[in-house]
Amino acid sequence: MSSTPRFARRPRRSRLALAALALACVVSPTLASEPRCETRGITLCIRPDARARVVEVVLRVPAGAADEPAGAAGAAHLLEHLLLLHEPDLAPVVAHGNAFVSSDATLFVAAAPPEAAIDVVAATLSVFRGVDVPPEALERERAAILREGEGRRASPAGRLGALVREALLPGTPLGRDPIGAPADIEALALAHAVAFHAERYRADAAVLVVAGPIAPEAVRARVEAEIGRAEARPRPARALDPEPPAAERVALALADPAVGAPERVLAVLARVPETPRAFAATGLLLDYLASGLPGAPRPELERAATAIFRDIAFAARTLAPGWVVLEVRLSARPGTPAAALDDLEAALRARLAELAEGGIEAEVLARVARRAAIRLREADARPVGTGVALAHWIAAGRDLASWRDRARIADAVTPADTSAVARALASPHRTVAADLLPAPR
Amino acid sequence: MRRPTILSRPRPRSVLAGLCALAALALAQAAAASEPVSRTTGAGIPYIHVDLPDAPYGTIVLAWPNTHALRSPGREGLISLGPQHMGARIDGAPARALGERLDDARQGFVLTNTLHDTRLALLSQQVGGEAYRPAARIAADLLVRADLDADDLGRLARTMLDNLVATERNPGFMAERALGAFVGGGDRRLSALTNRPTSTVEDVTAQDVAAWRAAVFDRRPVVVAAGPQPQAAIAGAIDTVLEALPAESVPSPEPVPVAWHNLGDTVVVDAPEAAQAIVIAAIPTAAHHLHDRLLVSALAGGPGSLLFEALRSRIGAAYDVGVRVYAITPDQALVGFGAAVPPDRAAEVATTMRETLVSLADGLPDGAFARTRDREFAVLSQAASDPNAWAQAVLARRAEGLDGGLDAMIEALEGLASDALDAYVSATFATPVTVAVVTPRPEAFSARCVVDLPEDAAGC
Repeated sequence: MSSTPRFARRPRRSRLALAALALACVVSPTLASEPRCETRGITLCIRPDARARVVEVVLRVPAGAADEPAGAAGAAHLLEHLLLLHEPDLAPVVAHGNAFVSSDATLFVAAAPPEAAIDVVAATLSVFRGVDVPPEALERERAAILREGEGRRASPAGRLGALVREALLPGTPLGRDPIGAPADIEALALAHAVAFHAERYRADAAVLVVAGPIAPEAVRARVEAEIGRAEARPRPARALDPEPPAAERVALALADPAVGAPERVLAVLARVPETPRAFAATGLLLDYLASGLPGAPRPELERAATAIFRDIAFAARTLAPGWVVLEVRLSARPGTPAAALDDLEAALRARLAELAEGGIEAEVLARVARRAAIRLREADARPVGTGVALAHWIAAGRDLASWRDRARIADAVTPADTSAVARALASPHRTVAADLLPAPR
Repeated sequence: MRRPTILSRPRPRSVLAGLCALAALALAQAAAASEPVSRTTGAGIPYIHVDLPDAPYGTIVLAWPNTHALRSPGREGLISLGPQHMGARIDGAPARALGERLDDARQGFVLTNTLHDTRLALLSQQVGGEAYRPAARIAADLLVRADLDADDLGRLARTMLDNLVATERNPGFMAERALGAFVGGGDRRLSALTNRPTSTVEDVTAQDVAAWRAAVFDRRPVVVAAGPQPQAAIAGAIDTVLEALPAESVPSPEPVPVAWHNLGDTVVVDAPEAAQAIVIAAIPTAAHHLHDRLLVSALAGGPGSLLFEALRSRIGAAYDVGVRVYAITPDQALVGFGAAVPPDRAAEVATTMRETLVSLADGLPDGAFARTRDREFAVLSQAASDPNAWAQAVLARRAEGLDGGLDAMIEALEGLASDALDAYVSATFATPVTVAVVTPRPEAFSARCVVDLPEDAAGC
């Protein structure tokens, strides 16, 4: 092994000059890191960051599984596959990124080196041109999507996840599985994808976020060249419509020989006030629940339920403005009876009830809020990597002022705010309790 | 007619914007030119420093190459349990409380262990004078004053065993276990990768952990620091961590090469409950860090890669191809390419994977080298501001007797001739491909080794 010392190079004048110029860029109002959004036939948000090494490009098209018309279930996902892998214009996106379909949107996400970034922006926007793919593309992507769905359903946990979704949102478009059921995928024709594209891929309803070391004016020029200056049409409202029926508790169980220990997925659909403060309080409550801080569920269960407790995990998502889904996965030890899951749930509910009563204790909340505020300020200082969150934020109709204010709002959340969110979660609109249980082989 | 756009009329702001963009690009390239520098702490500990002034965090990785975790046959669970047990309680304070305290300070550390290496990584998002300070203090306590309470060990072992039971019939894990048992033929290092048999976890004692700790940690680790923190903070942290350790610990035996078994053969695990079949095609390599990276990318690097195109685009039997590299010794790795497929197509997939891999004995096909090199060049270039990527690159190169880090890897990639990679690929794939399958339809295979339990493959 060589141990020859290597010495740092002295900064050269040219590098110092570049640093001075970069400083000018940072203080220039044109290239400040503050996000700016404008309407240019598309909602365009640019977040310059001269320090980043890559440019992040995020396009959010409000076209998801919930938007599929009757008889075309799975069309959003098929369209995403066809565009990404068979439209030659999207090759730069494939080289530097990927695409994803959810219930309410399709996201095209890329991280490109600065020299390729403008081409990636243009490639991303080419999704609005239309669908022109070779004939074999349909069968190839149909097979790939069928395999993708099989993979998701192969595990008992994956099958249970689908059951939970259906039971939580029965009869609503948002309850549809974005991957698509096998029979639906088999029945899809290219015409379904083309029609879905024509109806839903509207640039004026989409959000494009570009962040990183890139000149805003170059981005604007390219966006204008690709999209033009189309008049903005009103954005379609996104609502939980039709609203799922209220239900105190829907119980499900799935027994499978591949399951080694009992687990329960507890999913609650709750209404939370659609305000930046309630949004922040929800985030802080989730941070707390998932932490190891005093009084959080994990350390409490480890201490009080040693004989039956194995693990706990939390996830939450905003389904539509004012609607939150909280999912808790409670895992019991192997060999414990299914009733152990009731005991674990009871312990969790007792803690949630305490939080609903008094909120997170002030000193602990201060720690959680401080961490969140620092995280948010750092994300603002280094915007690459936050493009998806900003795209969702803007698409939800929230403004940039509240985006910029997130850290201050997190700092200002009180125990009473977290108490209000905990109350909403403790008395939800609808609850699903789904058990995964071992079965003999 | 289109009206002139704002860019058609040069304005001072747009000129400045253009200059700024150029500056950003040039600085980004300048940042890529960061290079590792050898330094020494106040206490005389040598370390390699990569200054990344714009990185959002920093890391100091201390690596002790050793095989001490294998010193007690039948108790290889020490590999995973040793670091966990050390981190469970320090001077009576539970790890969770210490971890939350470090979270408040935006710092942390991670202790990990492999078959031939133990690493402590300090992390700090703080840049100023307090950077690394609390993390280094607690890590120093961990290395010499971890309580190693027997009850804590029992709880950790129980959790690990519970998780093994909970995932016992997961087809993916079953395939990995069968592969390890099949090619290892009972070699305890390959069994230890999946903590089998479970007695190797159950039998670990607090005394084992104490002896392992005493044998591993000394004041002679390989140390790499990367990030924006000042040198004084880095050097101070290194000295704090190592202060109370002995100058030199007990040497451990050099890793012994694995004697591979059943290469070129197929093992099938009968799993009647599996909804999908898992097929893994595996090949031993010489563990060259850059060449293995390219090999993995060429075969399973998404659209355009060889197995992705063969299994997804050509025969439509898989959604994706996964890959896992098992580092057995510094000179031996086992690379497994895996796919989840419909059970009635598992045999076809196994054949296709085998054919694709065997064809590489003649080198990479046309176009694959350029595609792979370009892809990895982009990946490495984008990682050039990431402190952890730098630290790992420096350590990977040092393990092969090479200087430099990501900069040198990028240089090596730029200078790599297709003949050189072809020679490595040809030599690698001259060894026959081994296949492990977990399927509810074992009758579709004419394999001589069909087992009910993955571990039984060691007897084939």
